[in-house]
Amino acid sequence: MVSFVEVVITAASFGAAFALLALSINVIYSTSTVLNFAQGEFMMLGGMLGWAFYSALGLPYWLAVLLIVGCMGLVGLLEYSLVVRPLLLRRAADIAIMIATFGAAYVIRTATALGMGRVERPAKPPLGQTPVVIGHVPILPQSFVVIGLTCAVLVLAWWLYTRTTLGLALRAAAFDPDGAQLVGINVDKLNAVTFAGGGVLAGVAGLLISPLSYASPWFGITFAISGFAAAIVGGLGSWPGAVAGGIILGLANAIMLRYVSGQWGTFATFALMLLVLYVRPTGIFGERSAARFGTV
Amino acid sequence: MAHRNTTLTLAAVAAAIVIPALSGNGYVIQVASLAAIGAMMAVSLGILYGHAGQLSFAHAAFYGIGAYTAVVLHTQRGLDFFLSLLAGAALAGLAAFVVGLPTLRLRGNYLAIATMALQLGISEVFVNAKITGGSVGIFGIVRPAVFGISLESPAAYYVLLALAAVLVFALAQFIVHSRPGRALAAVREDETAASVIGVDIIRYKVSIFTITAMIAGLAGGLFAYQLEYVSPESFNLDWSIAVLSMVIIGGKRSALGAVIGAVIVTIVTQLLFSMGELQFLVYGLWIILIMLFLPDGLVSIWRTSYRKVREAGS
Repeated sequence: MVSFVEVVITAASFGAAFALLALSINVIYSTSTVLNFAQGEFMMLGGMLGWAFYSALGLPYWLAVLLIVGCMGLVGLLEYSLVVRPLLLRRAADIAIMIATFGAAYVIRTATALGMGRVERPAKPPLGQTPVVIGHVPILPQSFVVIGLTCAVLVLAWWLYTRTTLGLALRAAAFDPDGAQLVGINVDKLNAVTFAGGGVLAGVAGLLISPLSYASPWFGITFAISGFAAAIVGGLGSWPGAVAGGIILGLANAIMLRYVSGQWGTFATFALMLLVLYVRPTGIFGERSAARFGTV
Repeated sequence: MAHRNTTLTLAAVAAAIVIPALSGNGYVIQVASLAAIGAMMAVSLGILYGHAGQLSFAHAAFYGIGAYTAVVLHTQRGLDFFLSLLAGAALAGLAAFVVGLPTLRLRGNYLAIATMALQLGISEVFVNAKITGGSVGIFGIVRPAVFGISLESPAAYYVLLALAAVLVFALAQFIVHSRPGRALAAVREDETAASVIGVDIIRYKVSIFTITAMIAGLAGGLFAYQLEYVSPESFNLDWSIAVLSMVIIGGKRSALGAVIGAVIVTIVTQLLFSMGELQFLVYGLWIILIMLFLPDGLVSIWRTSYRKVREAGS
């Protein structure tokens, strides 16, 4: 029973981070239909910067968070304006844009490895390492940080999307980019906003998860697969889907770690993704019309 | 004119096979062998991406499946060399079929995501499974003799590789110009329109994905006997990306472009090998730069100038 509760806590912590990552993928995908393969590297970079600002430089945690929000927003914006925007303006094929974002992922990963060292860094958790014992279950304080901050970010994002003019414009552009453009919404600017936002969300996910494992320049690609898997399981483009997909992925990961072995995690993620694509290709919350092919 | 072109092509192919084989220089033979393998991979991915408009990040996985299968069946169980190669290709094709079936029914780029996950998942299997020899791999692979001719020497084996590459190239031309090939081009341009005029989109897409994966599996089996040992790092995502960059550098719509790309990337990889991680920065940058500034690859430069010359002449 105790070990089962531990599994659930681990699942919720990792699930929260994956949910943020899946959300960041969806935010960008909804408006521009770009699948950004650099998203996993954003998460990796968030963890590395968190290690640099908080563990190495010893800045206060709130300042580290703010700096990461700023840096990652900038990185997302840079990727958009240098790599994605020129291709969107040329109306390049989705696949061509995806390949270019993959190039960006390689650049970010290698630059990080060369600039910050290629080793795994132990990231310091802000509330310390001493487990809090609830009932008989020892729980790492970082689990509360991850789950709490994720909930806060989700509420903030939900408020932004449903209660502000910017959110309304984002939803309009996601629904019909050309129509939105016609009624005077600057879709190009919105895309820039989503890339900045996607960078921030993924970066925060990386910052939150790194004390539970490590910060390493090589984790980005695995993160990317987990994020895409969570987005697909929940339904590509769906916000509740991102949360549900993240939690399912977190649960699957925690079960694999606890009961099988840490060696087969990625293969399990792949198998889960493929299973969902066979059984329910639109994911849990996906719209049928959005993904299903050949409805003419 | 067409006649002269054919003669020239045949002469070039013969030279590409004979000159490295007779050079007597081990390094030249090795690089030429790797280029021939790269050409098979790039031509295969080129059909899938350039012609059918689908993207696979798992070509290295299919290549690995082909390599391990051939080695386990031929070297360890003593099955016939060519049968083992074919079994490897078949298994790679089966993996592609299983992944392609659900993903190619969907709009959007599910195949790219699913193949990326397959690639990383299979890499994990190669590292952890017993039959693949784990992270150490399998040593002691001896090049076979076929039809009574020993392929033991790298030069002799290079001739086999080059002939296989020519065969794959011819197969690609045949597929592209066949009726299903034209149907696939229609699917690439506009899936909805293609389905309206009666193209069974899903069947064609799944078939071409399976066939290109089989070619990758075959190339992998041949590679195992070129290198004489197999280990997981030969079959990771980086190799998938290297093949993809061969395709986009040469030109995604042209099999010749894929071959040119294969030769360039193989040589550059050899040159950059000592740079360590820095080489991946080069890969990333050139992928971005080509997508931005030369989306149809090097062959498009040649075509554009050719057209300009013709227009100036007329």
